[in-house]
Amino acid sequence: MATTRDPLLSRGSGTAGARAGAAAGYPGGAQAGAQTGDPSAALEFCRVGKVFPGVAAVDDVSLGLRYGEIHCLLGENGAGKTSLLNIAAGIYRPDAGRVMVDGRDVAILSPRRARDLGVATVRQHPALVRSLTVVENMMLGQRRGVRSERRRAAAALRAAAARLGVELDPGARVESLSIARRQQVEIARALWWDSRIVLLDEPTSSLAPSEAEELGRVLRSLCDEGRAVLFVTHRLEEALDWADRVSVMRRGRLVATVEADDLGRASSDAREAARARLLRAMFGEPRPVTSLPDAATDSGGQAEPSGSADQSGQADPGGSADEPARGAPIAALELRDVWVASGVGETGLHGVSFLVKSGEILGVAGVEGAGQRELAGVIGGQIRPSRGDVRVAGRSVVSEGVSARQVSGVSHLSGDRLGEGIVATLGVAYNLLLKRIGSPPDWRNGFVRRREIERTCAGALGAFDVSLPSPWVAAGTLSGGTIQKLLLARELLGSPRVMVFENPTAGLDHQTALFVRGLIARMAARDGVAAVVISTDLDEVIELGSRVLVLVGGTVAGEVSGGDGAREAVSSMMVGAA
Amino acid sequence: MNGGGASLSVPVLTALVAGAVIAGIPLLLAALGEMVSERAGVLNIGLEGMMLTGAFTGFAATLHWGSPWAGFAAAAAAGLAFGAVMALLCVGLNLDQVVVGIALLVLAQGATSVLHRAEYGASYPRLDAVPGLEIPLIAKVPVIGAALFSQPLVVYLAIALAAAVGWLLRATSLGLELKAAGEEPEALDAAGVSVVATRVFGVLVAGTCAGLGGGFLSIVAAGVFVPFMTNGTGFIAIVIAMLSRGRPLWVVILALGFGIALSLATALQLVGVSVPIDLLNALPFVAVLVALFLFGRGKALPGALGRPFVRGART
Repeated sequence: MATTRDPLLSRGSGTAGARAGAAAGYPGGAQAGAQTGDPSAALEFCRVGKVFPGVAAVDDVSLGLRYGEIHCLLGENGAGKTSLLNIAAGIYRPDAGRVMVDGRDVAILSPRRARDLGVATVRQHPALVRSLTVVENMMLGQRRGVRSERRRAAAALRAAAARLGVELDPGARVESLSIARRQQVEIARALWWDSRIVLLDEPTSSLAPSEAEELGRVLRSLCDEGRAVLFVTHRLEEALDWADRVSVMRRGRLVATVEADDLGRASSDAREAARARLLRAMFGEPRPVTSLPDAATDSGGQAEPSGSADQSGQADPGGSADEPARGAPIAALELRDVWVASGVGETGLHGVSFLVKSGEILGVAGVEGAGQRELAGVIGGQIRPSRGDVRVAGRSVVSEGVSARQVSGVSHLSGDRLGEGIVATLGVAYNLLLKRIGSPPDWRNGFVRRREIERTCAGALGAFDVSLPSPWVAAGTLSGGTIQKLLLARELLGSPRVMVFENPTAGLDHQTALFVRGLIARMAARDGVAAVVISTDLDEVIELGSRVLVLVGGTVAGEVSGGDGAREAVSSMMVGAA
Repeated sequence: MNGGGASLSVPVLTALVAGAVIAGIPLLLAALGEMVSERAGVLNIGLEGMMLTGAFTGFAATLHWGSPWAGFAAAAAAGLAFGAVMALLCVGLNLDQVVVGIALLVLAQGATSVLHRAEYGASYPRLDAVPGLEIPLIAKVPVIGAALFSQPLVVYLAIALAAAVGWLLRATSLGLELKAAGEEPEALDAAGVSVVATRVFGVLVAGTCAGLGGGFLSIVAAGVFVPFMTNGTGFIAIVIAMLSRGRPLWVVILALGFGIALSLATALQLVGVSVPIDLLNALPFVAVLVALFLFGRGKALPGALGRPFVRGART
């Protein structure tokens, strides 16, 4: 094993400039200190840039990683963190700048080269062959002779696992392992390869809290052996808890680097200050919720004047949402004793009834798989109930399919963004207009009118703060947050009167999630949309919903109106304690 | 169907089993190669074309040099060359494997037919029969002995090749890498192994084996080259490769099973049963459908089969 390097090289000095720049939290001046050939740098990015068709994913980033440190790369979705990591991993070639390993300028043209240089990468979705066993995965690329050396690999795996303090069964098939275990396999493999630099991409995104803690310990042990660890995350708390240094990326640029001394380990006040500083770096100046876009009228208004007239007629000036009294304005959405048969892996619905008025938001809470998908499908029109009735503005729509329901003003934001939501290979513009392909003004007599489409697209997305090189880039290349904004813009184009949101902010970063929640609240309050927010995020449901319905095993276990104590009431109902 | 049972005499059974072996060996060879290629994630629809090329080249070389061994070498080389073209197009340039496979098949059919007519269209030469190699003692066992143990040497070599491929897939690091290339090429790439090299190896093995199989068809089984003589064998081999999922023993069993279906026509004619010949010729393909129906369900093919690998590709 190579022990030629000094394990705990002194933490580099000469970062005062970086620190001063970082404090300001602005792009530009922050990196001056980091690129001047830090002698202790294990891995160094020098003014690296990477451009994807039209989007600068990484823009002039300089960053140094030292041996014996855990360095956190923090940033919201789409900030370019993963792209930067992939450059060091040999997946992408940089379009500008240099990458240095141990002070040498190296071209990392392939994962193989990265590995030979001592750089190991643990990806968000671990790169292991699921149908092979753990030890077989370890053996990949370990060719010493013709025969595969199972025994040697198993011994190495056990040794690595022991050093990491984890338990790994060499004979287990990877597909039977949790994501946490798969990560550990990759880390163990990095030890076997004796990689001195370990990069991890969003390692905690699929981990339970206890698993994440274990990972934190493993990272610390890697770093104690003198290795350099760089991990990417969008979770602030991990950055504060685990890292020796934190670098923040925003929109492809490195905007700040915060040193260990400033991470606030000393006191809770200091920690609070560090948190605020990192947040500011991540998102720029906070964006007040009240300045949320006028998306509904901006985009959809001009298309269907009849729709908006209808809405104003429906709008309920009073705020008494709690009691659906008879004689009051007809409920915008009503479910009457709806049944859906339960199938394989599906809970079904068993006699669900509720009313949602115009301008009201109904939250639907429940543990995963309590019938949320079925409920959304029944309202959206993908699933036809075996019994019961769905009414929109007093009219039964139960026999209508998805497109007929859209005409009736029902809109459904799918929880399966990539699968149901978009056609990944189609351009953004076509995805935006997916539900009305062929209709004027964007199509005339069956011909596409690109100009018109571009105009519609700009109008619809204008309020959503998305930067696109062109409306024709493939939707699949966008980040999760951008895709969700695109889907919201699409649903708003139809001027819906009833909207169902399925986990609307799952996987989005903080800022985008705030934006989406604000938009939902605004749609209800201002445009009189009757909204059903189905989410496994309890706080979201309580924050948005004036009432919260709790689903348990496909039935409504109870209803809680907002206010103090709602959280406790809902959560105890969710697990069947009430 | 007069007296079918009584007529299943020793000579008929011997002819049936021997015929099954002769008809099964081309299937065995081609399916072995296809299995390796599919493991690596490349579906070779053009297998039939590679067999046909091997058949023609093997025939021509045997005729020219007068030695079946020269013929086999030429058949293998032709298959290898054809495989190299496929590897360039499908692995190097990431073209669609199905489209390339079909194009190569049609190319091979056309080219061999034209060359055959130009060279041998007037004379229709035949090759001498390849002598059998009698294995002492067991060759004397009735039916089995005559059918299985007095075959040409190359038959035994083909079965040894099946064992060798089995060892390659099971016990070598290359075997693991082939499987990874077909299941999750991204993982193999991340482990530092070239997906391109691994897949190219798979395609070349398929080409070589298919060439050998075709060569066997013309040099040993028929002793002559006829345009389109493979007659669907390559496609049956693809089915065998899919059904056997990386287990060469199953390739051997299935190839001999389909060999029986192919040689049944001859055997039934020996017996004197009068069944329309077209119906008998359709038998192997009925057998394919039956086999797929019986064994094909729930068989998971390699996860990345047919999918080109592009590093860092965004969906």
